[in-house]
Amino acid sequence: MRKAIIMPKIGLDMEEGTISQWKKAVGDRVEEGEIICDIETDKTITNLESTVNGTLVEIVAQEGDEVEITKTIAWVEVDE
Amino acid sequence: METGSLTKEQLLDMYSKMVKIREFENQAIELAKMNLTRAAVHTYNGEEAIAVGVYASLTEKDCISSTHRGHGHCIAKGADPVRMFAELMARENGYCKGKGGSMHIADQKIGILGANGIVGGGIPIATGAALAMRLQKEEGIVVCFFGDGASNEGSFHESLNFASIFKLPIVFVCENNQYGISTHVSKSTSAEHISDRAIGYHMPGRTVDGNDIKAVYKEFAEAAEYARAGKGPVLLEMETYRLSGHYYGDNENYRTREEVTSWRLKDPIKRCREYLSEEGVDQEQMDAMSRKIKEEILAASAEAERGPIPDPANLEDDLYDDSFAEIKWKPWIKQ
Repeated sequence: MRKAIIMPKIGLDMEEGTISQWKKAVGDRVEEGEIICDIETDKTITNLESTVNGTLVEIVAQEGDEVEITKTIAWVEVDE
Repeated sequence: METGSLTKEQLLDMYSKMVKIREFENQAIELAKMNLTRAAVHTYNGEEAIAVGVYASLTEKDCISSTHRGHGHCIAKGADPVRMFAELMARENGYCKGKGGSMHIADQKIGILGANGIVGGGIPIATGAALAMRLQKEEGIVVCFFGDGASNEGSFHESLNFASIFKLPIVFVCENNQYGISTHVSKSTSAEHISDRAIGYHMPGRTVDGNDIKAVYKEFAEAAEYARAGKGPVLLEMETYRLSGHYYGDNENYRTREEVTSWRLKDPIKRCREYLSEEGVDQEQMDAMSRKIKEEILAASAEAERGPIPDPANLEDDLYDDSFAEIKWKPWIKQ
């Protein structure tokens, strides 16, 4: 099953965030709790952790891209 | 059976409640990420053994007061996850009709006097409830949950003194999760152990491994017995660690990932699984239980999300004091 990774709403006033760095590449394994990417907001840089075990199959938002909250930034093929 | 020993069935029940709390919190974080929650979400991840170990010794007549990190207390006491999720998402089917949010969940029918957004705010409320029980000669005890930060508030010290003078039926349960927001307990608290403060109020005080379900159960069972017998209050300090940030979105720059990892090894759910293994329960059975609970929690979340959005026209309903109605609310209502 493919699961979307979204730009999370991190702060109460956050409306968009910037992908500052991808820690995983397409084809990489991701485990629950592992850092997938760093997200920069006007306040801070936050590690985005995976909530599932699986494989990163597609990166939608590139480093430097500003993305509205809840929009898809990548896809993970979740383990059965 | 001696006080504090647990059967396999009891342990399985506790395991399922702990997993239920963890899955509720994980889903609450997902809802926050998806911009579906309103107001902050403080999760109980890593502290589940405390709420669950305490509730095993409570009856329907007992009451609790909770904190800003209160979801675990409510679920363990039997609150409905659908109404809780609905409250987090500001839906009309929530515990406060969507007007209170995560920090104001209360259900007096099942003895939940209320969560509280004010640090230390629940302590005098719990003490007052214990006084009411005493004066009305009701059966039951009160459990007052609070954190390490609250133990430095005046309300903590005044309440412990008061409860001790009148030998009130209350157990003060301090969940020492090491941090008050971003301040480590060693930088905010003069006592070596928070339980040491019991001496000053002439009551028993103990420090307990709050990540060990068996230890929590045993120590709380003894404290509850003491309070029920009319001997007065007890202060229990449960040593634990919040595995998630203070709230979802906390960048946790005041602690290292190594520190968090070292506490993940002491995860209370992991520890409970080890106890169950010793009792002969296989991993597959535990995994199957966890999967079923997760499905139930996701279904509860979906049901809550289908609830209606409150109508702004009803904003002024359910106020204790309607003189507030003179305030012009409209500028604050987001359309």
